[in-house]
Amino acid sequence: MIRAWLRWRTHAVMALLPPPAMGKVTAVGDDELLVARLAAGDDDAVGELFDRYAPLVLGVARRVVRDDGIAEDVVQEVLTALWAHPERFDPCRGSLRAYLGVQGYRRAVDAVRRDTRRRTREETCEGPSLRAPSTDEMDTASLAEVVRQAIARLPDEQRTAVELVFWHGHTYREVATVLAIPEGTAKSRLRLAQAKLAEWLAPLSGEPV
Amino acid sequence: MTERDDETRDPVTELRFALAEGDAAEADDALRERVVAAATAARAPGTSSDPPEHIAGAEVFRRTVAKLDALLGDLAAGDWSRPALRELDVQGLVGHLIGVEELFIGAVRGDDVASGGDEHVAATQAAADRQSQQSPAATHREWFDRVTESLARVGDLDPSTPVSFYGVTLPLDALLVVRAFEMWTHEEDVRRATNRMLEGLDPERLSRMVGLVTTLLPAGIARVGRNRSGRTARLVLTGRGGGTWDVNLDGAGEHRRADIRIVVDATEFCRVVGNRQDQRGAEAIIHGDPALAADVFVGAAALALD
Repeated sequence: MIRAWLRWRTHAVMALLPPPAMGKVTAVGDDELLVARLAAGDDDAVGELFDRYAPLVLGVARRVVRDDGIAEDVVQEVLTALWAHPERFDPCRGSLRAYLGVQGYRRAVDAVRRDTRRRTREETCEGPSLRAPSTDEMDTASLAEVVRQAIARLPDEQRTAVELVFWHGHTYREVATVLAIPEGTAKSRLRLAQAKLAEWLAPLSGEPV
Repeated sequence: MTERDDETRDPVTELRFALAEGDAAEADDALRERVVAAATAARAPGTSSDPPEHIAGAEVFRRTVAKLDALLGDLAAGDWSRPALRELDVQGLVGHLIGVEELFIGAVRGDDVASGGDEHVAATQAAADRQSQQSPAATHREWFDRVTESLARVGDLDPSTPVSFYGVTLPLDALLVVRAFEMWTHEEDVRRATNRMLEGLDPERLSRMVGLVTTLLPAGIARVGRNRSGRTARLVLTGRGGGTWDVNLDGAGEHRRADIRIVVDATEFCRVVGNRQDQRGAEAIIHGDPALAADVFVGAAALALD
């Protein structure tokens, strides 16, 4: 019953989002196939998982722990955990990228907490700057609409880059390829968009960005 | 499921980590090697992450009998005369299974039974034809009596006992999986003929069947005369009961790097082996030489008996 409700919510969110408008097919189906291969024991899929998501998880972890060695440990923990227990990822509840991002963020925070020498840093560490409000505050469908409107307010170059990562599931490298721009430019457009969206969406959670 | 896990379904969380692509960092080859090594040490490649319980061939057969018995008991009078396979209606198809059972009982007794391919069909034709002389209920009862006798006979034997049937000699345990495979294929024939949903296989039976099929695949390739010397296919059979196999298409025993990768749902691949599905219908995803993949599918279908 709960699972059916979650599926409905996911579909409701997707229904509110505009259809993919450019570039190659969405990567969402590729991710489900990748996880199915992990579950079946195809070890080649581990390398492909790394190629696709290690840069993201490493970036998320570095931002929290500010230590390359610990951030790499987090990448290893997160990707190894998915290989060991692929059933823990439920595509009905979110994308693989969000799942791995959340796992990476949590493990990075745990790593900081484990390290007493970093307690001070923990107090000031910056997590990813957007935070989901609780479902009590706003239902998912309404939230999706707010997100859609916020993205629509971005300048064209930033909006296009965000659309490619958010709706099409592309990595920053794929954004660079699709838009024929340097990878660094793709990342900077996403960072600029992140700053704006963090500001616009922060009131939803009632928390400082 | 924890409250914290609920974060992943929120659009804001999706956006948060989509935007984190802007902070993505370079992950070098050394880290890649380290992660792959750590992962494969944590769980051996090849096996399913959630392997089902291993069950004996006799149990695979017994469960398949129970499923078909329940289906036949559910058929309406008009269902029995629906066209099912070749020139057979549903009742004739069950008659074919009665014929197979009679041959199998003979094989277990040690009779010289070499029924494979067309012979397998021809050898059971008389049993199929005579069903028109009796009621569907009598056909159902006769089939059930025969499979009950088969189960009783195999229950007295060591599972490793070699038995010659279908033109090959296999340990009884493996042969019962082959028998269950054929029976399941025909159960699905009856379901299609009577417009019923296909139900697939439970993970325990599926696991035994795909394990056997991947072992027999080189024989299927050889049967259709494809020369694939030195070539290896990685079969990634998805779904609970599936797994990953590197199959040397020439039957060689050495470990080789796969030339192609085929990803396909395990149950759909079994339907290919039963010659009830093809590569396209199974929605197989191929990475590598399409001609080699096509040979794998043709070879798999060549394992079908009818």
